Amino acid sequence: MSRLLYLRCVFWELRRGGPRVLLAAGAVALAVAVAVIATALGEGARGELHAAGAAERDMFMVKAALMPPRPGRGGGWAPSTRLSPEDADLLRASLPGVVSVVPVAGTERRVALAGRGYVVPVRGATPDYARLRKLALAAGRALDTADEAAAARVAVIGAGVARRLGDGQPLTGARIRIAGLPFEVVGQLAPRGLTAASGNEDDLVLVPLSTARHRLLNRFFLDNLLVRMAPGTDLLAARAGTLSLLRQAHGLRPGQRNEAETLAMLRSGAIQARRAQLLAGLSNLFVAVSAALGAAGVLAATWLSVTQRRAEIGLRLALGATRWQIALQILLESGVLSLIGGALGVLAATLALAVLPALTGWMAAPDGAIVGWALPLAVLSAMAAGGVPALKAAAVMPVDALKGV
Amino acid sequence: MNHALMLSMAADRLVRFPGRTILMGLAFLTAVYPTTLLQMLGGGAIEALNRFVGQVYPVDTVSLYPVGTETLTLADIEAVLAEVPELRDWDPVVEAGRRDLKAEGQAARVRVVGWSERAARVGRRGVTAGGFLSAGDVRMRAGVALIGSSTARRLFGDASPIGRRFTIDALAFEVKGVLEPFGVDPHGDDQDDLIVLPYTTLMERLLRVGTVTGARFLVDDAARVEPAAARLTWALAARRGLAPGQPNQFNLRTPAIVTEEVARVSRLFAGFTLAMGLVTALAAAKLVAGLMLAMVAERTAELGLRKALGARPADLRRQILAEVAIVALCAAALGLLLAALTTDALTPWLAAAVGMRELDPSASTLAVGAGAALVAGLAAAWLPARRAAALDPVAALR
Repeated sequence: MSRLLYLRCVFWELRRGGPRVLLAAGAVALAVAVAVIATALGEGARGELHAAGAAERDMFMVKAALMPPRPGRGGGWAPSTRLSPEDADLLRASLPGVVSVVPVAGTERRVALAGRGYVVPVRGATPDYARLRKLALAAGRALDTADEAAAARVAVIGAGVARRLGDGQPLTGARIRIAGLPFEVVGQLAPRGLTAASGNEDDLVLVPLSTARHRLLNRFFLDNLLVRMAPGTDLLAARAGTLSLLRQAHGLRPGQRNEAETLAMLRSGAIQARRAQLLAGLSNLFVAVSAALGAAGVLAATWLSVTQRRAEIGLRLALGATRWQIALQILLESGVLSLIGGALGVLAATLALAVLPALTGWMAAPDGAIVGWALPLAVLSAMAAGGVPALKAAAVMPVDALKGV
Repeated sequence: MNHALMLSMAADRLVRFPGRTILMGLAFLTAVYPTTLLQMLGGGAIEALNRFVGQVYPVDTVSLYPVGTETLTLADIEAVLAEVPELRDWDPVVEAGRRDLKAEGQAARVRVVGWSERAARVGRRGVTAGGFLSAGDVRMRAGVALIGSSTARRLFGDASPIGRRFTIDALAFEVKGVLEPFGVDPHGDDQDDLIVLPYTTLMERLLRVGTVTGARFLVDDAARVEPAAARLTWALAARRGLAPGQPNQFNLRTPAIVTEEVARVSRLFAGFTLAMGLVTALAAAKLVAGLMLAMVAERTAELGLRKALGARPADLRRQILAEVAIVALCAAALGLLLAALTTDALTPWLAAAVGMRELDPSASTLAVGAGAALVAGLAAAWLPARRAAALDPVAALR
C-alpha cells in the first residue's frame, strides 16, 4: 500500500468516524487546554502575588554592627563606622543572586515648617530606595539621580510628617527645615499606616544619600544597606556570603568581630514565604490533577474507540491487509486526530485565558513552553492508548473479529 | 412499567455486567475524587494562611500616639472605650526612650517601653522563653522585664537570660521572658533590641509621669477598623472640646497598606481556587461524558432487543438514566469518602507544614467536583439513551 493511499485511508476514516472521532479529538483538546490553562493560571497568580505582597520579600538588611568600647578609650558600645558605599558596590558585583543594593545613611533630625516641628527619622538613600520598598507617592515626584548627583537639598516626606506639619494641606513645593537647613519638599508619600514590621512607617523624611552624607551628617560611613535578592534565593546563605565578602573587604582576621550584621525582616518575610509556599503547593496540585484528568480522558476515549472497531479490523484482515499495515494505520489515525485535537485545545485555552482575567481579577500568564510538552505528551499517550488495543485487535483471527459485524 | 420494576431491572443489569459497571464507576470516581480533594485541600490551606496573616499583620489594630501638645491619660482611654463599642481590647504604650542598662559588668543603651499584660494579644507579640507580663505584675508595679533577643545577647551572651538581673537608674529588674524575635524594621531599627516593663512600673517608679505615650486598640471586626478609628477621633475630640473637623494632634494610625495588601492577596487566592475548580470540574465532566457516551453506544443491540419485545422508548431512557444515576451516586459517595480519608490522613502532616487545622469542607466545596461529574454523566447518558430508544428495533438488532 503506498504512503499516499495510507494517508487517504486515514483521512477518509476520520471523516467517516463521526462521534468516535469527535470524542477522541475532544479528549486531547481538553487535556492540552487544561494543561495550558493550569500552568498559565499558576504563573499569573505567582506574578500577582509578587506584585501584591509587601516589599520585604527576598530582602535583608546589612547593618553596621555595634562594636564594644575600645580598651582604654572609655565610652559605650557604638555602631561600626566602616560600612561604606564601596561595600554596596562590592555586594552588587560579587554576591550571587543579588538584584539590587541600596545604601542608606540616616539619623533622627528635627524637621520643621514655619517654626513648628518635631524629631523624625531622616533617611538618605539612592533613588532605588523608594522603588525597592514600594513607597507610593501621593503627590509630587520621587528623588532622582540628578538630585543625588547634585547633593540637592530636596526631600520626600512621609504621610505622617505631611499631616503633622501641614495640617492636611499638601506640602509639595514648600520649604521645610531639616536640622536647621532649608530643603524643598518635592514629593509626598501615600499613607502606609501600621505594618507588621513597624508601628510607624509614615513619620519619615527621604533625602538624597549624597545630601545626607555631605550636608546633614558630615560623615562618609553608612548605617545600613538594603539588599534584594532574586526570588527564591536562599536568604540565609546570601546573608552568610555577604558577611564573608565584607570581612574580606574590611581586611578582618579570623577571630576578629564582624563590623556588620545582617538582619532579616522576619514578620512580613514570614507571610510572603507562607503565601508563596501555599500558592506553589496549590498550583502544583492543580496542574497534577488536571493533567491526570486530561490523560484519563484521552486514554479512555482512544481505548474505547479502538475496541469498537474490532469488526472493521477483522474485515480488513480478511481482505488481505497485514497486521503491521493495520497497526500503522491506527497509530497514524490517532496521531493525526490528537494533533488536530491538540491544536483545538491550544485555541480553546487561548480563548479561555482571554476571558479568565475578568473572573480572577489578574492576568494569567500563558507559557509557550507548556504547549511544547503538553501537546506531544497528549499525542503520544493517545497513540499509545490507541496502539495497544489496535495491535491486540489485529492479533485475533479475522473470523472471530468478523462475528461481531 | 412501574418505578420499582424499573429500578430492579437497572440494578439487575448493573450486577449482570460487572465489568461495565465497574468501568462506569471508575469514571465517576476518577472525576469526583481529585476535584474534591483539590477543593478541600485548597480551602483548608487558604484558611490556614488567613489565620496566620491575621496573627502576624495588625489587620484589626488602631494605634493612637498623640503628638505636639496633646497628651493621653488612662482616663482618656477609659472614656474612649466607653464611647466606641467596636474596641474590644486595648493596651497602653509608655516610651522611655533609650536608657542605660547595667548587668553583671556589661552596660548598654537600650530602648525601654512599658506594656500591660494584654500586649501579647494586642501587639501580637509573645515570648519564646519564660513568661509574659501578668496582670499581677502590672497591678503590683513589679520589677520584672521582658527582653528582646538582641539585647539579651548583648547583656548576657548566649546563656539563658531568664531570671537574670539588671538595673536601670539604680532600680533592679529581673528578666521574666524573652520576646518573640521580629527582626529589623524598614527603618533599620532592630526590633529585638528593647526592654519591656509593666507600664505601671515604668510610669510610677521610673519616669514618674501621669500620661502614657500612646495606646493600641483591637477592633472586633477587621472590616470596621476605619469607622472605629473615626469614632475614636470624634470621642476624643468631644472630650477635648474640639469642634468636628477642627485639626487635632491625636495621630491615629490604621493598617492602611496592610489591609489593601491582604485584600488583594485574598482576591488572588479566591480567584485562583475558583478558576481551579472550574477547570478541573470541566475536565472531570468531559471524562465522564465521554465514557457514558461510549457505554450507551455499546448497548445498541441490547436496547434494540428490548424494544422488539415491546419496551416503550421512555422506559428504555429511564432505565439507562437510572443505571447511570445509581452508579454515579455510589461512585460520587465513594469519591467524597476517599477524599475525606485522604485529607484526614494528610492533616497531621499539613498541620506541621502549613499550620492547617482540621478541615471543615463546605457544601459548595463538595458540590463543585461531585456535582459537575453527576450532571455531566447524566447529561451525557441522556443523549445516546434518547437516540437508542428511538432506534428502529430491526436495525438495532442486526
